[in-house]
Amino acid sequence: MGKGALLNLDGAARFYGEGENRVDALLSTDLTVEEGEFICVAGPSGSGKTTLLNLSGLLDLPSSGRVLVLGRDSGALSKGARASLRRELVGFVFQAHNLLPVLTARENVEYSMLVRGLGAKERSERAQSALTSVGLLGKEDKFPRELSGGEQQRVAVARAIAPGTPLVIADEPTANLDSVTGKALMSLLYELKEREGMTFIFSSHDPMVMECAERVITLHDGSIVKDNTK
Amino acid sequence: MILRIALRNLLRNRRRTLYTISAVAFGLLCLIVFQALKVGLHEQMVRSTVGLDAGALQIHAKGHEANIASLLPLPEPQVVEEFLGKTSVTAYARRIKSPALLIANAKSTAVLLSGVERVREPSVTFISENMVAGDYLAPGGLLIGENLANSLGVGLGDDVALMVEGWTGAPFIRKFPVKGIYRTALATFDLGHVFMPLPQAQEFLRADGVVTELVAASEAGGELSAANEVREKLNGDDRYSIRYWGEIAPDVKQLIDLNDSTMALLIIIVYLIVAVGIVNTMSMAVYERFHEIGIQLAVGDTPRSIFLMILTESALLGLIASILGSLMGWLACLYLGKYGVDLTSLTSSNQYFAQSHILKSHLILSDLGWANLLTVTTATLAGIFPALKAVRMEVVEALNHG
Ligand SMILES: Nc1ncnc2c1ncn2[C@@H]1O[C@H](COP(=O)(O)OP(=O)(O)OP(=O)(O)O)[C@@H](O)[C@H]1O
Ligand SMILES: [Mg+2]
Repeated sequence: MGKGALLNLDGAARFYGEGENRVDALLSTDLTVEEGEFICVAGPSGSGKTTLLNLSGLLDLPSSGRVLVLGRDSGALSKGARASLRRELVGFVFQAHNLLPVLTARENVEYSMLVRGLGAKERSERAQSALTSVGLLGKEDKFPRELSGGEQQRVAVARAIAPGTPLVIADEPTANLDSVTGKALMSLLYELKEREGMTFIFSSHDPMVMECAERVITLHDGSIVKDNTK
Repeated sequence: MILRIALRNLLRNRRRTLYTISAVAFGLLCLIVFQALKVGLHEQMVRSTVGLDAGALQIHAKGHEANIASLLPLPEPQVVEEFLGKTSVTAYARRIKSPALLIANAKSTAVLLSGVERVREPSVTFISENMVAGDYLAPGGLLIGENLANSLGVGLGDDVALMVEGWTGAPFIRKFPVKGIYRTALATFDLGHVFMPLPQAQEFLRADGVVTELVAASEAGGELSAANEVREKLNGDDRYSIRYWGEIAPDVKQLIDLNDSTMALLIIIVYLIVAVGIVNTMSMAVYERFHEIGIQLAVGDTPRSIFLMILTESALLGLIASILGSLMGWLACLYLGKYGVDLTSLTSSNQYFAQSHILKSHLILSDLGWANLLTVTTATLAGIFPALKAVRMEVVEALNHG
């Protein structure tokens, strides 16, 4: 458990339900993630990928064990404090329907900075540069329904990176994309990681996506069965 | 941004938003029109009561009882008139009233004979504006209602006999020519009320200079306060009894109060319906958006601002409906205030429509303001329930929706 670690899972487990109906989504897990890593969480459907990412991203709390983010125990924080720590540290990209349909691409990106209290000028500059870096120059004012699935995911990526949080968590960001678009999105994430130095944890069961990662953590039935660093 | 999100969300399901807005606006429209008609009706009732005979207020000698024949003289009427001149009373007139028996063509009927002042009475009551034949209070003659004249079979210029109990208690009978015929919208009043000039009545009743009643007019709506002013001026002088129209015609007053409480009930019902409609619409809107709300929370928005966003949406619904409903209500009242509703078939023998059978609405600006305020408030409050539902969700739970 290196003290400078960005993320630390210390026997963290998550189960749902009680007694007979209990489902162990994630068994007791130890994991350390350092800053600047580019990690893919792999595994079949139902293996606990989303559960692991939700715990890491402070969206959810472990049923037992601890999740430490920059040394702070998520279970020891109040709901509000956990939310504000999450706001400070984590950006999210989900599988699909990431965007607020009533906001344009630019507004969606700005929204993530508005809630973090950034000023109007900074918001618009950062939104512009984030949208440009995901290759959406000229499409800033389109609504999500006017964008393709790949473009929508790129807006979501722009939204996750624009506030400048150190950790970006992406749960199956390419699942709804064709392989070419998916591959392009992965190269984009890698490029952003190289340029901005942020940490990426994403999940996928697509071998092509796993190939892009520097470290692949493989889950099976709620346990880490492999942890490969290239 | 909250406002923008809220507004665009409303525009998203236009049909549902439109339905809700129309329903709320229609409720408000009905409320405004009912309220304005009610105000119009009450004003009409008061105007009829006041302008037919009661006046805004009446002053009698202490001990006077309505409907009992007693020529109880009002002490020092000129002194009372001086007092009246220093109050908000706009006009006043002297009267002498006595029960009488009217006889013509071998038919007879009991009437109330009023001796009234030819010049001053018309500034208090409206009988002079309701003449159908002859002159109002022509000297030496009698003014009777049209239906009374018809049932007795007399016309202008015909003599009728009038029998009264005079000042001394002795009966007197005398013939008077019918010199004027009037018709108010209230048939029962016309059948029972005859008029002659005050001095002629005093002489006939052998009650020279006696006045039994001072009747006064005031600004519409200012009757009670005028009566209170007069009471204050005559304070301590227990020779007088002062009553405003609400005491002279308690039935009218009670009916108005009853109407007001019925209307209050109606208002509560309408706003309950408005609230239920908005709760329903917003619950649906929130339910459909659980996933989106999850995204908003995951992106870093606070439950507080999500709560505000939903309240803003319901408040906007209320506001738009309010503006629309008010506009329609205002237009409807503009029409109903000008042309009114003809209620002749319903009101021909109704004392509250003594002057006219047209019911006109009167929209009071403050009523409109209240209706709007209540609509927006109700709508906003109605948003609280769905908003709480949205905010109480865990992020993960919300994200899993849809
Ligand atoms: N809210 C919940 N209530 C009950 N069981 C749950 C809940 N969320 C997840 N699970 C269960 O936990 C296990 C792990 O789920 P998880 O979503 O983490 O898997 P996953 O690897 O992300 O799967 P997928 O690839 O299908 O997204 C599954 O068996 C799932 O059914
Ligand atoms: Mg999953």
